[in-house]
Amino acid sequence: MIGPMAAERSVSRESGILECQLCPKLCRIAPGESGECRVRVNLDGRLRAVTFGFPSALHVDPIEKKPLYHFLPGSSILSVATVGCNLHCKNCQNWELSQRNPEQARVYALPPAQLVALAQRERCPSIAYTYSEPIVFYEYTYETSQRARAAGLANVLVTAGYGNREPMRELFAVTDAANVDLKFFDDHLYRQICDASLAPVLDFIVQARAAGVWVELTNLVIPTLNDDDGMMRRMCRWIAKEVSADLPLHLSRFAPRYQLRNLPPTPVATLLRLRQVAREAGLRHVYVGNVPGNDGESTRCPRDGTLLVDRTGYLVRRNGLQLQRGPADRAGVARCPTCRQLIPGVWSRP
Amino acid sequence: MTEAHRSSTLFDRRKLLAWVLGGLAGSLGAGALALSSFARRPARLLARELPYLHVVPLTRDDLEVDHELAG
Repeated sequence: MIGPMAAERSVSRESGILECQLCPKLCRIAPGESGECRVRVNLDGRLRAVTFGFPSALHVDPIEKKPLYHFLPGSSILSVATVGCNLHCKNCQNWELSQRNPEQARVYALPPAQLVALAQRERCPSIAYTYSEPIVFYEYTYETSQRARAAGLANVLVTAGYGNREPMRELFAVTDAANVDLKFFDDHLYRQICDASLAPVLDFIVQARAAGVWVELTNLVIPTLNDDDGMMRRMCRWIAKEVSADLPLHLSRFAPRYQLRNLPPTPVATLLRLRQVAREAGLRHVYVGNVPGNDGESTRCPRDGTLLVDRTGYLVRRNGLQLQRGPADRAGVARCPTCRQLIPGVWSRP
Repeated sequence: MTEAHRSSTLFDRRKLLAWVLGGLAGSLGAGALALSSFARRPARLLARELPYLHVVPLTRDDLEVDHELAG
């Protein structure tokens, strides 16, 4: 199937207006118009996902770039995105993709079956739905994920986590891992910078984890907005209490982009200070991102500090985890070779 | 020119003016109707086809890592 896929998650309102129920925005879409995401269009009284089968970005990335550090480290991942996003973050690094209409972009014609075949050809054990926002190209993500699962591949969402419970429940059933961008632990900042709100994102994280999806979080530290110790402490305490202290958190360095060019890059000292705050709040695996060569990119045993996975940038230099293979139908576990501490993650495929 | 003839000519002119104004109003109405239906056209055009998508072939180079893209 390729072309404007029927996107059934909508209800009719007066005068041919459809309400899209995929995300908390609940856009009311008049005939011929799209929702805020630009890619879900009311065509002849039906909601259509017009980028279904038409990605605009397609790359074979190291999985560390997503970033995922506790999921198949050192592997390649076929990464795909269409244009469009339901958020409008002023700092978006990929705004040329996310804030673009379908007719303004170059697209490849690649239906789900061909996308899965491409991942196999490129020897990628997983596919990432990433770069823009996989929730807005939901039908493409979902159908490809189903086919990828059947072919023995894993599925990864890299997302802002702004989706409604029911459609996400179905998507999580075919998803193996997710990196969720928890942008601010503050509703006002979510509204001011991203045109979104905090509560649905927290709900998404809890729901994904409960559904058995391996979850890692990214928090982009932006000077003057979310670089204070108090917000970091509150966020990490919430993660440890409501989700898990084992959930990896990536504190990522901000670079001036798009509509936030007036702010400076995050000082590395700020990232390292906030990393310490996050650890003191109870999180066991806190990383710094966009600082190549920093020790904060590597995985260490939370009990005795042994270097387990040595990384530089996106490169895994050494994986010293002690892997124990599981039964044929289950992934194995990994331990610290020194103290036998169990290290949470998905380290191999069944 | 007789009095009767003058009044008949005036009557014809009024009738002509009425015809012209009526025609003008009708044209404007028809134009407005056409414009409003034109404004609704894009939805029907989109429904029939997707000519607005700029499809390009995928090349080997496209698959390389793009360090400018986050995620």
